Amino acid sequence: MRPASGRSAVIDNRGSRRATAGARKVLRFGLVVPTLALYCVLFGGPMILLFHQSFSAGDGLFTLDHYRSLFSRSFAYNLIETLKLSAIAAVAATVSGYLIAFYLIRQCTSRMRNIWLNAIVSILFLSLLIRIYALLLTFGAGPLMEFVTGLFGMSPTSRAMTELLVVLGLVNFTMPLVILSLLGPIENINPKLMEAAQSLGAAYWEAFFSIELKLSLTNLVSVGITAFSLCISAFLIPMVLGRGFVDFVANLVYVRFQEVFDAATGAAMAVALLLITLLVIYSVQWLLIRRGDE
Amino acid sequence: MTIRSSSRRRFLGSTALGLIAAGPLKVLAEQQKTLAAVEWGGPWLDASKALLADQGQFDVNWILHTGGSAAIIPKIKASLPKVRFDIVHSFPPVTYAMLQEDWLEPLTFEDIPNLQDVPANFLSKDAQQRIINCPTSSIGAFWGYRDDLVEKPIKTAKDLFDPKLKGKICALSPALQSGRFLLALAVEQGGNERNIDPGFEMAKELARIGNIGRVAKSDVDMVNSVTSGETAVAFSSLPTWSRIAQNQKVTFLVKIPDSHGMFKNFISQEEWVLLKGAPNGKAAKEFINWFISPAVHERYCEMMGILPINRKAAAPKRLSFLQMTNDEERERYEYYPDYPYISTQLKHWNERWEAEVVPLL
Repeated sequence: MRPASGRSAVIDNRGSRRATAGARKVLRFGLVVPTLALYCVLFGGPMILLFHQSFSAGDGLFTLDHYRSLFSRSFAYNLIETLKLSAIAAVAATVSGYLIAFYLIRQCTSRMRNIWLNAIVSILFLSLLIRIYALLLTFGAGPLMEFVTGLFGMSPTSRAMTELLVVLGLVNFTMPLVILSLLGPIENINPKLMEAAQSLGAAYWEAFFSIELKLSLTNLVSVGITAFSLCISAFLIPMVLGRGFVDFVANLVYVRFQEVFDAATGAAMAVALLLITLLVIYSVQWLLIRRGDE
Repeated sequence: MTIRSSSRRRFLGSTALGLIAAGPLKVLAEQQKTLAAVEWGGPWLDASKALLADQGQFDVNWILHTGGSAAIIPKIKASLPKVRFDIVHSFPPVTYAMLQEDWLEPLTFEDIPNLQDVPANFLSKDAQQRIINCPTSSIGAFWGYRDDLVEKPIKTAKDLFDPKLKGKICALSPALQSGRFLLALAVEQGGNERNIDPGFEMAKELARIGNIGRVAKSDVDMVNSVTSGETAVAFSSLPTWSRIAQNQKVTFLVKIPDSHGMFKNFISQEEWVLLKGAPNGKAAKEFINWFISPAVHERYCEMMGILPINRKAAAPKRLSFLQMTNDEERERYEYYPDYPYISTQLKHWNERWEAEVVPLL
């Protein structure tokens, strides 16, 4: 038997490495398959059905009629209301959540931090409905709020107060998640950087804005987008706190499905809401990447 | 300690024993089947449960309506061809929608003898003129207000525009109570189901001046709003008003001579309907017959604070203000909406409400 030359041995070796790498890829993909299948069943399947419903004219016919409702005044009005209040709530939750997270990491003793973290996590264990009704009892119409709003010449059942209440509900919903998401990124910033800036003559706030905030900015935007996505798809909060004055698109979808037997229009609205949310998220990400490149 | 070894023979033996033991249990289960009944929550459920507590014939699994009653339609549709519910406590627009889908089992006087004591004008029929509902009450919706929160008594529709009522009116979403809130406003302005524009104009004006303090999307919303004092004036059905009147003094605006039409009793009815292919059809018919038998029905109406529909049952004394003594009164103070027509318009009314009224609130 002729011994293998050096060159052919190298080729064999490469071939076996390729085979091993291929097997690894297959193995890795195999590990993903169950999760992927679950994702397809739980998310992909219902989404396909929803898309189908939105284009269905019955008896297997196709129509775009249901998408006409997206050009109606009611949809436009509620979409603007949804985007406006969600954006306000997301910004409020992100800014206040960042300040709390910053305080917990930089200012608190570890004992106090643990107490705070337990309190924040325990909020997440409390049903959202209970939290919403607690807000309604505190800030809803009643002698106290009548007195407080009366000082500003307003009524507790006015639109402005209702919108404020919905924003408070959304902030209440998203802020614990914002705080918990920002703790890690803030902790990863070396505190000595700020100390160095201050020792070189920068004022505290100057150092904070130019170092801490600047280094946290990408995370802040990511968390803000997450909060915004949670707000934009909120249903329960506007339903309970909105007094019938403030409805989000999700509430319109619910009415179409559950109250006026118009599932096809509801499906079209749901698809539109999904696409608008994706558009907003990817636009912000694109802007960030572009800015980073510059 | 010994561990018993398992064998195929032992397994087969124990399985056979299990099957023999399960036989009588199956017979027992068939004797008292659990009915699946869709019911409204709150006073409806409380009253039905109280009635059932005193008997041993029926076992009912209550499934609650969520949101508007019409929400039951997609739920039934989603489970087809399997029928998960036996009977649904419904009211005309929803019954009509179910009839359109051909979901309703006809009912006969043989199956439900007590149905013969219900006035014929309350019985709905399918295309073959077969009865498809069993009414359980004549139930109107009308205006009312809390005495302690309204300074000046309300006597005409104009009073609703009083600046002192800023934020004090609880409006109803068009999807709720079959759009009767809008209809009442339209009737006041000379309109009706087929001419709802005047109703929208009046709703817009009330919204514009800020007198609407809430748009209720469920009966519970309305009860909570008025009971808590968030709002003081509302339009709703008799059971919800009865619930509020338990704790607060309420004035009902039903027989108001100066009104042009808004302060009427907008009549509807509640009814059991049996679904085709119901798992316990026979037991469901027996239950319906029992439910409207004079003694049971009288007790139900007393608890609910509603008017009976069975001629042999007496009306609660406290509801005398709703009883019309002659046809002239009936003509003047009662309104029988055209529910089949309304059910075709609800989607459009709802869209108009969202587009025209909500932005003004």
